[in-house]
Amino acid sequence: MKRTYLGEFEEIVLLAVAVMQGEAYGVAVMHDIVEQTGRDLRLNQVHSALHRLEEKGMVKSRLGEPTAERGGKRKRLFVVTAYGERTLQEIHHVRLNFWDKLTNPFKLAADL
Amino acid sequence: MKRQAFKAPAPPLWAVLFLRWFCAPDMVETIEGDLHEEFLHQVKRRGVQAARRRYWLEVFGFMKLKYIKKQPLLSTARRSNSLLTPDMIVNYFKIAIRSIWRNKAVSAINMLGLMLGLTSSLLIFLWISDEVNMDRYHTNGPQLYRLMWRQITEGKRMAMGSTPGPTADEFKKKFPEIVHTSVFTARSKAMTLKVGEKIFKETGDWAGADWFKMLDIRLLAGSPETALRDPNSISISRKLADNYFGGVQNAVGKSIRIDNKEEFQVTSVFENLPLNTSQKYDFLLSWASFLNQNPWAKEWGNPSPWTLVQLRADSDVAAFEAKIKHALRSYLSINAKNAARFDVELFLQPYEDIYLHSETDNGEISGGRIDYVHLFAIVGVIVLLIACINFMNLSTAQTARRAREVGVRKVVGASRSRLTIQFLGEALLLTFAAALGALGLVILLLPAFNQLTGKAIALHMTDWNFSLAMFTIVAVTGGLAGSYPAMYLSSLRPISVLKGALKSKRSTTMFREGLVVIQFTISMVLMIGTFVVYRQMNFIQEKNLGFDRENLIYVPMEGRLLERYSVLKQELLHMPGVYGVSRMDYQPSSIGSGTTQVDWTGKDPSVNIQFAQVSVGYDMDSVLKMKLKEGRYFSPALTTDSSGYVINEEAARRIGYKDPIGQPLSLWGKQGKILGIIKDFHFQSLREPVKPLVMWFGEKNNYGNLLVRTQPGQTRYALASLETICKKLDPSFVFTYSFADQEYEKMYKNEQVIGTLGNYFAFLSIFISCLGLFGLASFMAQQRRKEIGIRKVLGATVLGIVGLLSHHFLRLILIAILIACPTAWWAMDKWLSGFKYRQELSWWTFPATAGLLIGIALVTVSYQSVRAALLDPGKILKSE
Repeated sequence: MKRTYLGEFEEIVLLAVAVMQGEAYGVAVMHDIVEQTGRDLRLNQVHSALHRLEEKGMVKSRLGEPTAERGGKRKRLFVVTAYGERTLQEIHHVRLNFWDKLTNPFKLAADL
Repeated sequence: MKRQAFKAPAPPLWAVLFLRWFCAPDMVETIEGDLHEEFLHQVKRRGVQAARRRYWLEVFGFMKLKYIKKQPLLSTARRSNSLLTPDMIVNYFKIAIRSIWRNKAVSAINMLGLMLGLTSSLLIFLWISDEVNMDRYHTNGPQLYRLMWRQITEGKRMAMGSTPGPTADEFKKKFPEIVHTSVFTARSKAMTLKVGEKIFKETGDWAGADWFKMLDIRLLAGSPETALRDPNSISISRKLADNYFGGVQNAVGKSIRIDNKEEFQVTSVFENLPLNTSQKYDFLLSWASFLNQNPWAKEWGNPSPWTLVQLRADSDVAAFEAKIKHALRSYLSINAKNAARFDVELFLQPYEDIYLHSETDNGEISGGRIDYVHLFAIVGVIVLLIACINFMNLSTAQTARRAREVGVRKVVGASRSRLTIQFLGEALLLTFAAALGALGLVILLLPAFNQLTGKAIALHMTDWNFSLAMFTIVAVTGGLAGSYPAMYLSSLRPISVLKGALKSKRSTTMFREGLVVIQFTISMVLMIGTFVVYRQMNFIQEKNLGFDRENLIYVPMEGRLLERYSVLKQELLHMPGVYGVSRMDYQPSSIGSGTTQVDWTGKDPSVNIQFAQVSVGYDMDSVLKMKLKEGRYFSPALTTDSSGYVINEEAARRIGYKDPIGQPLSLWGKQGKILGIIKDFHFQSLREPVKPLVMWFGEKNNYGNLLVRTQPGQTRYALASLETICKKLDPSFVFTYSFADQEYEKMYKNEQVIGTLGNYFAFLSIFISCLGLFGLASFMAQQRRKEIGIRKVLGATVLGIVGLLSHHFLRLILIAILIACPTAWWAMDKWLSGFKYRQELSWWTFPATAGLLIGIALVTVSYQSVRAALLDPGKILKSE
């Protein structure tokens, strides 16, 4: 079976891009993730992840319009590709299956 | 703070610039945009200061390999793009023009030097290509050879291109390797051609029947089979056919009277010979007719004509050469007993080599014109080299001016390779411009050059060879001239240059000085060379040949004049201006015929000595003002004298009679006795030692030269008398004459030309070197202006300052002289050794030329130094 490797951070970034539906770009993705996870992030980490995802073919990008708040620079807008979407669904599916098998609520580790 | 309210906070500029510098261009925009947005976000949340700190942190975060710009050095594709775009080329071109224009004086000196250098090298190229293409147009050329005769006599070896007349036919029968053979007299003899009323002197030769089958000479009429087969056949050139018969077709079958003696039938007409033919003739007579007139040429003992053979293309030349080596033994009665003492060997010389390799030394082909081809090639390269050195020197001397430009260019990011290309391009541009000028000069000078060298070189711009040579010369010269400046200037460090702390390093100064030394060494060698050649030529002209060649006229005789020689002589002696009259079958300075058939009592049969032989008339000794050593000359008073012989001292020595006068001697089997011994005189080139000579009486020969000694200062009357009498005795005689001294000088035409050209080139190289020196001196004077100002203020004299500036150059020239003297001595000694009789090198040549060179150099430098020394120190120092 074909397996997809996606790091945890990449998965989150990919999810963020998917959630933002065409409005995803470096800073926006970072702020969204910071908001959701409360992690301390730096831009270059997000950029790296986006690059890697693009290299893996899970997102694709285009240049947006320049805006004044960016010092007249254009945004690079990311969208999830069909492959990226399927990958997310697979991951989600795998996780769901595990949750389904978990008949009992959590046992505390101390009880074992 | 209030002011900041209506001004949006900006991210730290340096951080932004830093990001832009290292970041790859395709990513920088989005990264910068994101950083900016985040910066504003941070400003709102934590304030400007924190945001700025954060910004820096973020920028450093992007310093990862994937974001860093790829440097030009790593990406060849990008580099070559930026260097060779049309825009950049136009840009280089503009910069080159500007810098050439800005330093007009230096550029002019450079241009002039390069132009003169290129002009001379182009002329030399034309000359050389003309020389090496001589005789190279025959299809059979590679299979054609001349039989060479090598004689080993008493351990001495000599070689010549003459072989016995019968060799050609005999060898063709004997050796299957031979396709065709032909004799050729190679005399370029002027003969009188008469057709109806038209009588002119034309140049002709005799050739064997296969001649037109071997060589690519197109026949316009007649066939190669019959052209020269029968006695009394003549083949004429298109030019003669037009002149005498009004066309090629009219000529065939017509008859031509030659030398008022014999009728010849025109059997064929050939196309005028191309210019690159070394043997010039306008007509050819059949060898069969030569044999009719000259029965001696049938004998094996008289090597005289060339024998050319055409070998089968597939034959083994070395094996054939081995086969013919001793082939003449049986014909010359050389046997096992005498072969050790003397022998005759044959060897081959490629036909195409004859022109350039015509001299022999110790029985081997040793050179000839090829030596001059080499010499000229070297001189051409040298003159060009001197010009290149000038360029290098002056360009690097300009360093101070151009260093700032280099510094700024480097700071804004020009790579070293870019600068190198720029400077090289500049040099090439200048060279190209100089080459255009040189081409113009060559066109202007070519007629004079042709006159000097006796050639008919034309400039064919469309000739592929010439264009290629031109291109190569320009590229190599430009590349060479530009190489050092480009390397040196592009290596300058921008920081030290822009600080103004540029000091010429010891090594670069040394390099420049070395170049100056090379230039002057070359100039000095050329100067000495020219001087030695001039002295030797002078020596040759002044040399007492053993006969007096002043006031002596030669008239080639023919036909009725020969028959009526005694009447002619009597009549001439009564004419004004004529001092004496005699005859000889050669000219006294070029007696070319030799024979081994001289016998005397007690001659060792195994000894085979080549004697020169010449037939002479009465009074020859007094007409030539020769000196008798013993005995007497042929005398009309004693009728038995006509069967006697007069020999020279060398012959007497070789014959070895104790008391030679009256002793028996035979030439070609004709018995006689020795009448007298004449003092040795130079009847051949001064390159050769005086050979044994036998003079025999030939008052009634049907060929020969009239020798007329005129009274000093009365040559004009004598010539008029001569023409009158000749015309009177034979109205159809075409009167031609030559002066003995001019004929003699003609023998040294090559050396004369070399001497004259050497003069020009020596002058040129000195001139170009001085141009360079002039440039360097002006540069130096410029650089030391302030020093000179201060020295003057402190009381230095003008003379002292001139000395200060000159002594530096003087040192270089002294070194050059020290190198040049032994080099020139060696080279000239080698050249002079080619002459048996020569003016030895004298020691004072060297100090004299050295003095001259120093003088010229001092004059060159002094202009600049005097100018510098005379400057008003106030003006110079005011600016400080």
